[in-house]
Amino acid sequence: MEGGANTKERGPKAPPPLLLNFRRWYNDLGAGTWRDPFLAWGVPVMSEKPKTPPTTPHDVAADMSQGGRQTLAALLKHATTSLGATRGFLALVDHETGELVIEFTEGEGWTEENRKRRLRIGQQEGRGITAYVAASGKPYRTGNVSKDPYYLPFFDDVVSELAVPLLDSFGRVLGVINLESDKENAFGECEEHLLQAIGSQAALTICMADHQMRERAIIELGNEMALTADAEALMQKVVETAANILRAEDCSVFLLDQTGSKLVLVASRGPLANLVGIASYPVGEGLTGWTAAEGRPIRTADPRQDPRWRGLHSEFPPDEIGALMSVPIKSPSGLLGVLRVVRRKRAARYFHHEFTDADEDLLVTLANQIGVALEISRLMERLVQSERMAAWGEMSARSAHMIGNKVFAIKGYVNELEYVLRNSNVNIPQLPQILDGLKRNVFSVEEILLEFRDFLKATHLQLGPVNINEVILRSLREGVPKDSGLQVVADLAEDLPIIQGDAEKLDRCFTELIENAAKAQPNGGMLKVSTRLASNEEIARMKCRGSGPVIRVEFADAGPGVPVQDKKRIFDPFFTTRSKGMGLGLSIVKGIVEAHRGVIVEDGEPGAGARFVILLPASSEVSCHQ
Amino acid sequence: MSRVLVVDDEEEVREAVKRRLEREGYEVVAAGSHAEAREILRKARPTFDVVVTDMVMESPDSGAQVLQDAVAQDIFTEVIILTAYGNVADAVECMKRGAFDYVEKNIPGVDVYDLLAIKVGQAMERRRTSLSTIRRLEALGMYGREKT
Repeated sequence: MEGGANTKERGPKAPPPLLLNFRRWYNDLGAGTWRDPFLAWGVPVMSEKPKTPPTTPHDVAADMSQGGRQTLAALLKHATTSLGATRGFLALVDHETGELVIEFTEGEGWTEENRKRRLRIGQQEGRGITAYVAASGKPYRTGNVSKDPYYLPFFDDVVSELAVPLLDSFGRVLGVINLESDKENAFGECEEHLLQAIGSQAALTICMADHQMRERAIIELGNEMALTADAEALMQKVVETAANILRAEDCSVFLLDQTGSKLVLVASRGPLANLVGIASYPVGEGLTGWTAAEGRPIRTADPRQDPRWRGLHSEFPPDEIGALMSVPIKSPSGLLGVLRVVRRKRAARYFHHEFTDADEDLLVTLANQIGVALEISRLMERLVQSERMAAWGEMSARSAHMIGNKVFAIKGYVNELEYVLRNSNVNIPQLPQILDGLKRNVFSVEEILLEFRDFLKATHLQLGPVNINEVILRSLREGVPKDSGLQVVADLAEDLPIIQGDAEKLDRCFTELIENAAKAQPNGGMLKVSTRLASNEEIARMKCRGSGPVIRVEFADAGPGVPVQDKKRIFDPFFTTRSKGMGLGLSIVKGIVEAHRGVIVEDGEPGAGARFVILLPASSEVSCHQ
Repeated sequence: MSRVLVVDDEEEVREAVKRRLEREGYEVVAAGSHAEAREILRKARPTFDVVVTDMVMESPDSGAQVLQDAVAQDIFTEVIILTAYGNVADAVECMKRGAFDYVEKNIPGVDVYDLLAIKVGQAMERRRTSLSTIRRLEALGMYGREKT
């Protein structure tokens, strides 16, 4: 599990989250489908999303719509009248400032001015009973306020006071319902219990709205993902939504770069926004890097206590961080990056900054959605790319065919020219040389066309049963140049399984390797060709998937070998260290091997000779080619 | 006089092959498609001695169809497939169906025109031999005249 003093372990399944985003909640409640606070599971229409960070209830109250007000106002009125209070109010916590803001009032005497009063949450005496209740999370009543140490006068005629906190399922204070009476000892234990019951109803409705809001955000994101192929726009939307729902100051997405060893910031809503594309973590470093390395979420309330903390790219100075949570973004093809949210420490000491199990669940869900969306976006790109390549290949094939026809015609004219000149009296000494040059170059063009055609057709297989050893023997017979001085050793295992393949293409493939060995050792040398079944270790190391026998073919020579800096590129098309040739040979070899679901690597010792190892699956259950 | 039918959808190819074979003294007729060739073969009196045809024209196996149409008219017509990009499977198939030979247009280093001239000559020879065997059989009464 994660280490660190303040990081959270997963407890037993937690009840639904009761975090607040007041503005959104009120907007949603007011959309009209809210009938009964306890039965309204309908999904109100989402009004426009605020772009600013989570706002205070004060702003929310200004935005509040009818349905929401009605519900809470009704609860307050019910409480006030049935418990015989002269006055009451319902205040909600403003986490930014650590104050209570009065949202609803009942009874006489309320003015613009006193409604606006804010109560600093705290447990000190003389700061108000409501403030005390909000800070302690416990109900409080007094029969005579003049004798009460916490009382802070609002009105002159108050004698008894009763206040209960509105608590979420984690015991965190959402607000307070406060009742006053002008009679002494107006509220007893019974009244306290009753008000608590009403208070919990109010708290429950707040929770439900928050829950619905989260649900809706996820659904909306899900819909967006189905419609948007633009991964960037999606990332931006995700970070904003996550930050809003989780009431975090910042949400950032880091994605793995090409090398797979670095996480780069691609989207952020918060202080890191202008570091997009710049800020990065090596995988494994920092909490973010650790998340990527281990593929597991981290939650912490005090990052400095965590030994993995690096503080590389911090949204705020470490002592201002209230809570941090990062989860891996996974996709079917592996880890893609990290999704991270950070809360700033609020002025209120009584605010619970930490992220809950439910918050983590939510963020993981969002991360999974991102993972899928990114995967789809990348697959789409690859699809478009491969379609483009296919079209390109088609066009090239056609051009090559047309060129081939014209070359054939040119050969016809050259043949005719030779004939005519032979049978005429023309005796120009340069003529034989010119004709030779003509023929030589036309043949060169033909060679290029042939190689090009082989490259394009490398993957078009005509399948049939193939005996690898037989193909190799044929390639050796026909491919080893007669006067090369090449000493050939063939070590071919018996009883190799028959594979499904294109014998002609494999012949072409092996011939290319044989010719390369001959060209690398112009003054004679050695070529050893061997075949056997591949071992399980080899199959795993070369990343062949599936089960079934795999044949291993090796071509080893004693030439100069492949220099270290070229090893990565020798299979690339048009890579050649020779002055002649287009450099398609090895890319054709690779194309043919991979079309047979196999894999080829070169692992010879530079300076001691080249060694090509090919794995070819015998059955269709196996694939070595991703 | 020996007659050759050349079939290819590229005009330049038809021209070049016709010119080379006429140099050898053959009478050469050219067709630009399998459909055209089929018509010409149907109406040909006498039938062609040798047919030199491309493989891919209207369809990927137009050449094989020309082969079929040619031998349908005259079993002893020799057909040579002259193709741009050959492959072993096609070659085997054509030989099985009775082609005289299968030649690639672009084998580097080989003068395909001279090669073609030689092949057509060999094809002519084989046809002559086959026809003379038939005549001897007829003379001996072993091969019904009405069948020709």
